[in-house]
Amino acid sequence: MNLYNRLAKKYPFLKALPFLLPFALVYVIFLIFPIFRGFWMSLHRWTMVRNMGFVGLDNYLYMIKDPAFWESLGNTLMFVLLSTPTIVIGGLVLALLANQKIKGQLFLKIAFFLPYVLSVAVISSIMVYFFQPHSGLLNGILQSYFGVEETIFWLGEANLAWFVIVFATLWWTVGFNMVLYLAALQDIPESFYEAAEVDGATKLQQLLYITLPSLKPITWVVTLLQIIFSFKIFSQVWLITGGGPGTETRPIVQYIYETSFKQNSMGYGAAMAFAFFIILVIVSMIQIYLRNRKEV
Amino acid sequence: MKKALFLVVLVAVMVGLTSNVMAEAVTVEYWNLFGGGDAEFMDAIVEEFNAAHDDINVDVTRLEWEEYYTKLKTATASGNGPDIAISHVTRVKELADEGLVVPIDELGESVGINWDEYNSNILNGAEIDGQVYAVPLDTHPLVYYYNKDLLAEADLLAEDGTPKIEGSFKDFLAKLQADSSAKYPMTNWTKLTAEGHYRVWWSLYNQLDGSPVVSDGEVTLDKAKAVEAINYMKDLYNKEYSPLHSEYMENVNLFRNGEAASLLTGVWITGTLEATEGLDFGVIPMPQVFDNQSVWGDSHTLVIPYARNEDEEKQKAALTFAKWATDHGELWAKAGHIPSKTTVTEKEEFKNMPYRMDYVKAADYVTFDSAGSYTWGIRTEMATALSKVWNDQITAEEAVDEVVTAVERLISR
Repeated sequence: MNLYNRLAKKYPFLKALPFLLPFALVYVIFLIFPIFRGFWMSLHRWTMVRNMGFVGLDNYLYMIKDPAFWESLGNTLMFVLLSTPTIVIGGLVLALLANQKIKGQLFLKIAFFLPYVLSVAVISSIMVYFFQPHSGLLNGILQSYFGVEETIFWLGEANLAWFVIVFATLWWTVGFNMVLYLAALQDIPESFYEAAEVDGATKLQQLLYITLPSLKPITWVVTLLQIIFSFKIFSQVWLITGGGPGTETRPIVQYIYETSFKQNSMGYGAAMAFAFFIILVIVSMIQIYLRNRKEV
Repeated sequence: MKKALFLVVLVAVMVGLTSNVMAEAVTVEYWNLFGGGDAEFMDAIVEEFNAAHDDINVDVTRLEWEEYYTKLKTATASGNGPDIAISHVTRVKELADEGLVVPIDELGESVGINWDEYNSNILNGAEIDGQVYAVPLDTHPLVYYYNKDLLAEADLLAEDGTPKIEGSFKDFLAKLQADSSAKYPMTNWTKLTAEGHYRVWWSLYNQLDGSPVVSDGEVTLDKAKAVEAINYMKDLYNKEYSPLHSEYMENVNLFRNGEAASLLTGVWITGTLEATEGLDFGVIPMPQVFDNQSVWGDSHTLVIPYARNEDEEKQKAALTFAKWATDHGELWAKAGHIPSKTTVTEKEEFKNMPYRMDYVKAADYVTFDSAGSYTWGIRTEMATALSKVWNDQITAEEAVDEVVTAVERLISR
């Protein structure tokens, strides 16, 4: 005991250790260990049940030459680029709308947030019913009320399929960004607006010079969260288009999943997952760097 | 004192009895992947089996179909597998190659299974190097459902209620398109990337006597025949005999509400169609388009996963269940599937079920596409390449080349 006390005096961190240990153990077993294990697997030919032998960097070399890898990585990037601005700006606009002092404000907030509580399976099924070509709701409306004659294949053409996926994600998740923005809007002191009004600023000027600048910090947070969320895109694509038409909307996570579990090639799947992990680490580091520079 | 003694004896006897029963009843862990209607019928079978057997207790675990094989394989590999499990016959080779299921010829015979009673076409699919690895439960091929009212409008319904396909199948569809009030002559599962495309392609390719896609670790696809099958399908969609891009339930519903005059899909939908009010339909095996009647189909089988500590008593109990379930195939046929035993299809209970006798022959036409662990990869690659052809991005020849390259890569990996 004495020894512990003496050591603890010298190294204060020992005192914290017992408190940190339970969490650290769980963290190491379920997060750190799998990362190394995944890297280890990526150096082997590995089926779902057994290790078929060491292949060195073969999986990685194969990956660099695999057009399907680059295509699906490109698709994921495409989704990030399409969805991040849409959903961030969408959240902002909805928050501004729901923050108006008008009747039905509570209704708007609830209506905008509601889809977020649904599971991905539910929203995907709704989207499929909405967009399916021969008996879908949207084509039905277009054909009955707007005189559209041809059948539009919403999920059968790449551009339209991208639109559907981004739309689905927007409708589903925009409520979360809206709530973050709403919280930030409540934090802007009322006195700013009062002062502006006294000075004769119009509503538009108030928005441009008070509201938006005050929302800058939260916009960083929202964008950061949105980019990470968008990179992980998988479930809604899998359930709505299955990655199609062809492989044109197949994101990298889906390709990793198919390679590992459908084509029984865990080693190659692990290699791609590890490469994707590195890419995400780099993206996060750039973000942290940019933010730090901003704050200085 | 006497009373106390009596109590002690009573308790002792009771404990003895219960522990005796416990010792005798073997619990069999049984995993399956059924959902929807299938699951209910399977639960009923297990319940009846348990009621009829005091010495065996089958304990069902139902798993999500999407994750089923991942869980079955990893659990078995780590020694936590079930005692008996459902596997598609096209997966049996993959499981056997990985050493995850055990051969059951003799074990089966020891509990009274007579392999000759099973439909030989399905049983062949479960045989690897002369060893049987699975007890076939059913088969579920593609079949052709047709709306009798709509066929009659185009004068295509024979006296006995079957379709009059006198010329080619496409002539039949053309007449249906021209002379019936249906919006589409036919519908099948055509969502791009869906496996539905592959199933029809596989049927047509085998009607041309196409060779297996992979044999002995080499790609052995017959390119010319593969192209011919693709072009046939492409023409179906170009002439709008069947609408492209339909989701699975959408295509079933087009048929149910009379917008499509016929439906090409698996037998599992029979129950759903029977429950549709005002739908007068019939069903036949998939029409012959080319040289023979081959058709895509798969089959549910029961396999005994490998266990580190083999317990022969458990394996026998598991196979007793497999035998009972297949002997009572008429219970399972309620779900629409074709029973695997000829002794079952001859039973009155089965013969009296509507529709089933109309497609029972299809079991003999099924060509399984088992290619070991490559089966899934081949299916995905082919479905993807086909959807590019439908979207006019590549030609049929290019699609076949793409598939060959992709499968070669699959093998090399």
